[in-house]
Amino acid sequence: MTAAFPNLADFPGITAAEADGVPVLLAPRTGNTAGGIIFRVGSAHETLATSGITHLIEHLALRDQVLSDAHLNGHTHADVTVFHVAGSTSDVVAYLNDVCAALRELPVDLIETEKDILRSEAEGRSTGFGGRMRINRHGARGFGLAGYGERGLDRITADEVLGWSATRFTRENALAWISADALPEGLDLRLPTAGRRPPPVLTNVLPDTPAYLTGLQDGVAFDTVVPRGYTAQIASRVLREVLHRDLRGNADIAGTLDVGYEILDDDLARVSVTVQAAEDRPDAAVGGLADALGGLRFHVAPDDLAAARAEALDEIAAVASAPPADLLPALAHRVISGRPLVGPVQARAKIEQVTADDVRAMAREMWSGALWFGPGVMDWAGIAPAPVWSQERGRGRTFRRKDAPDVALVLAAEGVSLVTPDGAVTVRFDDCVLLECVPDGARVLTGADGFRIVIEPTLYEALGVWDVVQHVDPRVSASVTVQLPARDPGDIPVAEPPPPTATGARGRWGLWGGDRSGGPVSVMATVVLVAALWVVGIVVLGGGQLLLSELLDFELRLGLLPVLALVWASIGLVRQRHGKSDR
Amino acid sequence: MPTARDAASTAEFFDPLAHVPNGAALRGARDAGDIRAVLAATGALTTHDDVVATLWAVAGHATVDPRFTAAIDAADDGTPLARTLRAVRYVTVGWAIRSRFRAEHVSAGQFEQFHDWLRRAERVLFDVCSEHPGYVPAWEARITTARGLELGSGEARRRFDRLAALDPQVFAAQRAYLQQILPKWSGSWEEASRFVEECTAGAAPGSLGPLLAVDLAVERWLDGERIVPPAMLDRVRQAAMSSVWHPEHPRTVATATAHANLALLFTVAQQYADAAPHFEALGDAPVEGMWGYHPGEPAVNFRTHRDLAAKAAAKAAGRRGPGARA
Repeated sequence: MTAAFPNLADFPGITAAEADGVPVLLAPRTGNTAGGIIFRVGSAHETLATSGITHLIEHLALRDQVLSDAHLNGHTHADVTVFHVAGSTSDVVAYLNDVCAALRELPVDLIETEKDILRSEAEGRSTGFGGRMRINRHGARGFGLAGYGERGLDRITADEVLGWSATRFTRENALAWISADALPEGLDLRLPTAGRRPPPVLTNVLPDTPAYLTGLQDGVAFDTVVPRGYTAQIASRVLREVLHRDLRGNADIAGTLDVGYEILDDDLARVSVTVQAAEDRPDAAVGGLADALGGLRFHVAPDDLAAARAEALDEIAAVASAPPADLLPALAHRVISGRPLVGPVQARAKIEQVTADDVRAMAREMWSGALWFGPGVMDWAGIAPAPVWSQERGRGRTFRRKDAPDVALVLAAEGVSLVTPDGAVTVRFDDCVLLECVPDGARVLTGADGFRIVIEPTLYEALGVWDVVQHVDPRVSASVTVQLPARDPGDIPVAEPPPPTATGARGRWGLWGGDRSGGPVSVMATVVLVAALWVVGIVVLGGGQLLLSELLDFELRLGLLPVLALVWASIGLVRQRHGKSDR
Repeated sequence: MPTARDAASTAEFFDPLAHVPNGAALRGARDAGDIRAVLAATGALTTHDDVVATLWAVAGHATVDPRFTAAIDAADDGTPLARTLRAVRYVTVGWAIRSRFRAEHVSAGQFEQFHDWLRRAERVLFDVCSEHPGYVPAWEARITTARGLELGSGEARRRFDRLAALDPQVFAAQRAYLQQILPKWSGSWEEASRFVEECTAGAAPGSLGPLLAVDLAVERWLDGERIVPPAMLDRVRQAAMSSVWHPEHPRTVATATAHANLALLFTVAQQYADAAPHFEALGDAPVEGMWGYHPGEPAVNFRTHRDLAAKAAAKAAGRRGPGARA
């Protein structure tokens, strides 16, 4: 079975053909030729342990592309992977043929090179606040993987790459397009066959919504999952109208604001709103955004609805008047995703049918499904904090944290827990989607729900490296275990850090505490500083006693107090310089 | 102002409802716990300052009595007025727990309860403002919940602006927002002065905006500026002429509050003759205004200084001869 053949009746000028079992959309255009091939596999199909594998294959498939004057590229999205090119017809044919040939027989000897390229591409790229929201909504799976880097690159094997390619980059999972009126000569789109794949699974780890996260400094955002369709699209546009008026037109509250709409599966879409606050006004941005969405639950201004409709209709008009060939990539995405094709006439009618009541009802859905991210708590608006603790806590061998005795690590038969007076974070072994290991014995476990536990053996009383290694490693599947290279010894935490403020919340992915500011701290400099502290301290405190007894004829009997003060100051200094940063 | 006071003598002595149309009926209904009658009478009021002051006066009654809270809850018929009264009740109950100490003197437990009540209030007000965005009294209360919940002065200002876009002359709202930007909350004297200027400049003829300067002067006095600068007194005299003494001044309960505060400022500045006409304007119906700031029992203070002012005025009148007026 191939991707279902689309009904193109509403798109005059576009026809469908088939090459080597791959459907091909065709529409002629003047000038050069464009073409591409799209696969129904993307980053959201991966697991955390294989994350990056699709991107890696995309790179490998393009490894040998040397085309003169042709513009070509590949993109790995959450739901699909696209290869496209523009140039002469023979360029397009050669490109598509080469991509398919590479996918049939991937240059696996280049895997390590391409992994390095992907790692350096990712350097400096942050998953940002959007990533944290994805993890808190979806966990460490599916669309939540966008909140992590391509963590799987450190463990993906050649066999896995070949297996993924053979089962996902297949003819049943592919669709091509070429801006031509007929299939060009010499096209060879032979691909493996392994059946059609479903869309990414939509996971959800938020037990209750609306919920909020805190810690975004300069603005506010929310995203919400709602039934997809024209009502959600129109409601998003109405919301944007309201926000432009409330936060920009009538007030100087927002610097920039963005309303996004992303289809998640056959039924659901994500609407996301980001407001970058004007200087010093993030608090007003939070209140303004909450009031704007809150108000839409009850009132839709006719002008806003009219503006939203007009904007949507303009886009439809642009589609209707565009040369058919320009629509091919968008139609290909729709077809490969299994979504019905809605022609301009039908789309226009559906947009015009959306009423103010529909928008109000949709605003209620948006409100009740929302995950907020702002500077502070939002319980005042009836929004609950997103969970920062697991439901379960393991029972087993318990090790107290040296610097915070009320925090304990529990190594249980079924998992690992970090227990604090406020709650516990647990990762079950059978639910662990990634185990990161370093040779010094530290381990990081990530659960499918996005909770993470960092085990630093040096931080716990009586916890030996072998306790950790022997307890954890055999219980976690090797297929999710990654062995990382040895750390810089300076990155291994010392035993006297300041009390941690960590809650073990999701999304604290600063692996191995690498975000400590100010670079490595020299031990020698600390020794010198401590010595200087004592010299100055003895002079000042000792001198002070002498001075007082001279001037006031009063003998101050401080005894050991100055010495204790110096000891205390020295410990503080060492902690400040060598303490573990917040993880 | 959620300066809930439970001392019976004070509550009886100061009575803002005396300055509200049909105030006696309102007071009777409140004292009888007949909240439906309270709502009916409040709903008949025509100025926002009267409605707002009535809500705070009713909600601030018997703040330690949960039965009164229950009565207000039970009378919620879904109208914005009834819902706002509920919310304001929660604010006054919470604020009574917090008491009138500054933040550093409030215990953690008090703060927790205070915030709890304010959150309850804010949730009600959030829905009221969503459903009835033109309902001024709810926005007025939200200026105070924003302050108590420490949502930030940017948010408090946004709420004030939403309200001012509906009615720019609500004196209670101006006073509520001024509190937010005082140094004791999260602002500064400069910011507060700028806002006072803004309200003065934007005041409609005869409206109370210019008298926000009195609030500011009293706050500075409370903060330790024991000598009110003569320039400030001149400014306030002028502000009184352009507001409460202006021929077009629309009288509301806020007028009475303004007189009480003017009387207080001239009293602490020891300008008793200036204070006298403001005491007089209140007649037999004193309102508390900021008299709670004066050390000691507010009612006693008020009475004592009213007498001093009357004597000083009589003396001044004697000097000037009959018929003269300050």
